[in-house]
Amino acid sequence: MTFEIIDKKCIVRIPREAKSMGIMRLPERCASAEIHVEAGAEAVAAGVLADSSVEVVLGEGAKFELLRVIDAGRDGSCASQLVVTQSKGSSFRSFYFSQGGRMVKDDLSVTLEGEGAEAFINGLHDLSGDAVAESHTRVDHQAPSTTSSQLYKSVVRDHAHSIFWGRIMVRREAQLTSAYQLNKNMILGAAGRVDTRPQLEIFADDVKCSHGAATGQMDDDQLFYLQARGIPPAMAVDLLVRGFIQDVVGQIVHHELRAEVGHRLGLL
Amino acid sequence: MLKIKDLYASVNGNHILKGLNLEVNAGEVHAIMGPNGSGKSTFSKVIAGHPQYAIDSGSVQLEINGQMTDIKAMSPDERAREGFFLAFQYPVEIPGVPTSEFLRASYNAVCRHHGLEELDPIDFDAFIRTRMEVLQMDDKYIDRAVNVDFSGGEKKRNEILQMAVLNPRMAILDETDSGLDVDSMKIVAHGVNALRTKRNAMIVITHYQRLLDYIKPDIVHILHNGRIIKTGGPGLALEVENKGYDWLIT
Repeated sequence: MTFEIIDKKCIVRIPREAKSMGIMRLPERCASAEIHVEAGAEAVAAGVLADSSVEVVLGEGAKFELLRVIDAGRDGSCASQLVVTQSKGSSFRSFYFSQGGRMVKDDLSVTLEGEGAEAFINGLHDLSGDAVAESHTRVDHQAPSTTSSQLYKSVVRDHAHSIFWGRIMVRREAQLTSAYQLNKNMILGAAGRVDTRPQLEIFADDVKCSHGAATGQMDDDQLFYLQARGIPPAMAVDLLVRGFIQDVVGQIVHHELRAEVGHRLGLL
Repeated sequence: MLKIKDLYASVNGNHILKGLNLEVNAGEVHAIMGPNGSGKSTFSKVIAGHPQYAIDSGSVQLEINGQMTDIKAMSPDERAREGFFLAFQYPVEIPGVPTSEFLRASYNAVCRHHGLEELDPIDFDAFIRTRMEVLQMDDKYIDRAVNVDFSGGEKKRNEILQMAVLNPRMAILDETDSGLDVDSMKIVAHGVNALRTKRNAMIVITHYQRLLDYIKPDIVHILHNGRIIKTGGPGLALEVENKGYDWLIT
């Protein structure tokens, strides 16, 4: 692996066929990074970021998992960006985690350029107070037999506000594509707000695509079930919120990354 | 153990229970049978304290610390911690919450209330496995999310597992036999019978006599239009099986 910093930009290169088992840490508050995972290489990376722009290029058959924890501070604002380009047969997993801030915005764009490339794009907004978090995702299926799957969840307490815009494009060449997107939001209390806008643009005819969004309060039947087993209401709510979150955190494959997010959420 | 007097209850403004009287003593198993819409499920939800079901008048008393105590003002979780249990007709799925964690939270909430020692995950695991054996449940269930991807029969076994964990003094089994094949029903009934003692009591709500071949009741009640219209011995269930409900209703 090579690692250099040019004009404050951190450039990482994982050479061909390299299999690195450890987690590569992006420098704290790194504002600009370029990560090249070359053909056949496998890597895992994580960063605690604020204003940032990260570019990822995956070579043929490369595998990469990236965790971005966005920390803008309680009243801070930041804009982050992730741009991913994937070659044939490559596999990418992204997890975005934010507890929001005055205005915390993320733009994520994945282009599946090579046949058979797959992307798993997941995220969580865990918001309270007046926090705002806005996530935009854009997945562009340009090649045949590509796969994308997105799960974004938010927990919205107090006056917090979560925004999700997800866009999937399937080009005419991208036959046999499978694209899936789900945005699920849990609003606790009466003052929270969620805006969700899933968009599908399909130009190929032999594809499997689905998207959906669900926003709701705590489920009364679930709450009653836990209470009927002697669990006090506050603890029952806590269990249900943790369950809701666990479902998306469980999408993280690398166990240390999963534990890291779990730790930040107090799940462990 | 449980004393219900002149109970009127409604859900969303619809009056469902209309003067229900019932007394269950320690060591007894009662069966409540009745046609669809007679109020069987409303009855179980009201006694468990479901917030959507309102008691309009009458009293529900549960024996707590040797005293008959009105439980109307108690929340569902308080009732459960005082020894009341409802096995749900439709157990609820809770994604993301492992069954083991749910069962332990439940068990420890009850222990805490009674000043008993709580169990840590390792001790609880050993405890739960002995209970699962009785119900012939595979170990894999406890790592799965509560009732998620469980078959109908597995969900019902999970209800009885919860009953075995909490060891309630007063349990209502709401159509525990629905959706069970005969083999599963025998296992569930075996699990229930293993929990019968002289110090606890059960009410088994069912459509069919079938379950009562395996969980033998002392007393059988027929519920119709929100009240108990006939009470008898185990023979009454057989009579209903043969003749239907019409002869009782008209």
